Amino acid sequence: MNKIYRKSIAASALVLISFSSSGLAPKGSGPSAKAIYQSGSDTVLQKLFKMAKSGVDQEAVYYLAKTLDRQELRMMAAIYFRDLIRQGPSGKFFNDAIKGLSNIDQDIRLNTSFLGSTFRAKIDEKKLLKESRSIYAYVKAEESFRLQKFKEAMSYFSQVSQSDARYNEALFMQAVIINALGQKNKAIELFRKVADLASPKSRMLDQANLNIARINYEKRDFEESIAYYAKISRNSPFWLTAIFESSWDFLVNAKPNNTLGNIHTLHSPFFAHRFFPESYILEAISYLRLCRYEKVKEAMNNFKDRYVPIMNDLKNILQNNLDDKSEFLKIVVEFDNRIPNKHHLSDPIIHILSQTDLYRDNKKISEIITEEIAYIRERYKNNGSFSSDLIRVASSERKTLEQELARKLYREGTSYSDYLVDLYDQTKLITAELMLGKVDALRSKLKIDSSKKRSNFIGGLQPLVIGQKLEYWPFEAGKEGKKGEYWQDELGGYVYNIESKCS
Amino acid sequence: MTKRFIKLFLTILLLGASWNSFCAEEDDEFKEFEIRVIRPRYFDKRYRLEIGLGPAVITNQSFIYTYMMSGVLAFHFSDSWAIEGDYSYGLSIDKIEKKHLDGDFNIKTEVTRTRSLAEVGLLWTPIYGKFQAESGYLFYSDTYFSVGGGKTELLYKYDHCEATANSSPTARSPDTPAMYSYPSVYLGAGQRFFVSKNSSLKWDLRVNNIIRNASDGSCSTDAAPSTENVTNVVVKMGYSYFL
Repeated sequence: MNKIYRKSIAASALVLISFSSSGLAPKGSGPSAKAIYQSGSDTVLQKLFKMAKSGVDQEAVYYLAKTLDRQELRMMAAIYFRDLIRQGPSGKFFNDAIKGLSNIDQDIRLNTSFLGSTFRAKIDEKKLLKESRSIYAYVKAEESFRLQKFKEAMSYFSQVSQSDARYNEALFMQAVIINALGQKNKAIELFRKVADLASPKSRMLDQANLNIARINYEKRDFEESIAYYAKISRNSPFWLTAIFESSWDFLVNAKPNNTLGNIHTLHSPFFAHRFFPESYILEAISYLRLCRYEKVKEAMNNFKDRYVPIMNDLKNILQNNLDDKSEFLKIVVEFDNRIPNKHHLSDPIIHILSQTDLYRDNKKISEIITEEIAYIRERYKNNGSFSSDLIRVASSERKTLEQELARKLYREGTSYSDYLVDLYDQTKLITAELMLGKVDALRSKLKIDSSKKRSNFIGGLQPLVIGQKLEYWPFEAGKEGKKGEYWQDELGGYVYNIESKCS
Repeated sequence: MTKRFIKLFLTILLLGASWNSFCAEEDDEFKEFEIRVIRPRYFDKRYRLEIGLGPAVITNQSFIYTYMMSGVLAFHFSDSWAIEGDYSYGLSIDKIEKKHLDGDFNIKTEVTRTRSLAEVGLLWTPIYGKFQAESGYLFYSDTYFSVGGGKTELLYKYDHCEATANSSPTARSPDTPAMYSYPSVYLGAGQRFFVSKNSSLKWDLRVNNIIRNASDGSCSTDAAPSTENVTNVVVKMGYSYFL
């Protein structure tokens, strides 16, 4: 009797085991998540979502993520892959989840806010698979850079693989760090490599050229600096930045007529909504060099007229949104979406904030989540609680990202406000010293070496070449305080033609 | 040795002075303006060869239409001066009025049909400018004047003469058309509109004066020679490419 009983128990166990492994387990235990995923049926997503709801069944979470990825709901898949990674390397699907997340990142470029929250658990890097290393290294590198642990950041950035879509960004950041550590020539070399790898007309290419120009300015190689600023094309979003920054090159290179010409472009009505308050300080300094003191005062007054209202308006906005920074984000979004009747004096700064990588990347991810929510709502509209639960997960993620964006944008807005206050103080100082007749003291602070032989420059940051055929167009200044006639094609080409009044 | 050195030094000095005056001249443009735009010229024609092609029409002929195809070859010494050669070849078509006069009123009109023009001339371009369309699109142009001369071929069909039925040996008839070449001079003006750094569209108007022997077009070879001026107003359009 005992033998028969034991044999029947053993047989039942065998049957149970075989049913389980074939996915046809008897009622009560159900098919595995993998089996459901492989079945490819219409209800795969609902079943896996139900299994994964508690978050305990890692296999269910993993296959849920894969199903979402398969249905091109990439952001939702990324959320679940991230959840698995956060549970740490002890999880069975840890490396697979990193691989899944990395693939999604290569396609849609997840923003740093999302990735930054992924690798929370302590990880033994040696146990990471080769395919997982790159994205891990990039995320850790960004974190180290933010904490100003530059050597650690360098080490991680150098581990980003060449096949990774973020490789050029990693090189760029390495160049930034090397420059911060004082190795300027090496930094230039790296930025040149970034420029070579970047697509033509890409932001990365322009940013690399801008940085090479800046480093050359720091090295006091002004002609080389101007040559790199000149590489930024007119259609680039960084063109005006190049015009402005090269003005400093011209000033220090004892060419105030070129400086004033550049500033003339920045102050044209075409760019009335752009933010370059420092250009007025630079204008004042140029006129100071030429001993044209009335013009110095005029520049200071123009700064006050244009930027003090902006400064005050921004202060009010920041004050009003101190407790709820999402309202500040709403202002930026309304500006970006060109909502009518929603204008502020501080729109030039709102414009800058809406052009930052921080905002643009977050906007892109938010839009993807919104599209995926719309898809689920439509596709699973007859599946009541399932679709609303899944949508809740996505909405929650979007809200979290937006809250973080709001905080960061508010911080940026605050730094612009502080910057304006600082510039305003400088203008007050210059005006006061002029009124007190301390002109010589002011001029002596401008350490400009006029003794060196330097190239001459025409408009458009171009050096004057002997024998080159030039065209001259006069700029007709306006009368009675009105702006003159600006032609769009002439922007960037102005050169002043005034002499110094210094005795 | 000293004389050679002095000569060389003086030559360099003179060249340098003339070069400097050239540069100073350019930099003096609009010097009364506080702010100028200074940039490389959009279209630089110096030392470039121009090849062009386009249709031409003689516009001042009462009884015929003359259409030609014109080719141009020019060399630009500077943005202001160029030497140009052009050749036009075409055909003439009778207007309906000529046919009516002949058919209804038996009036035979004598016409000079220009078959070809081959001319060389000098171009002077004093005006360089730019236009901005309402869309904001900008295009550059220049305006030139030309003078020159060459050879014009006239075709005589003698369709104003009687048919050959009662012809004498000296009679000309429509059965015996002939081509004659005459010297011609012209004065002209035109504009180029630059569509890229290497090409332009242009139009050109010329008053062409042909000095012909009128008896070449008469119905008898015995007619006394007489010099006559024939004026053609030629309008050309074309596309030019600069090498």
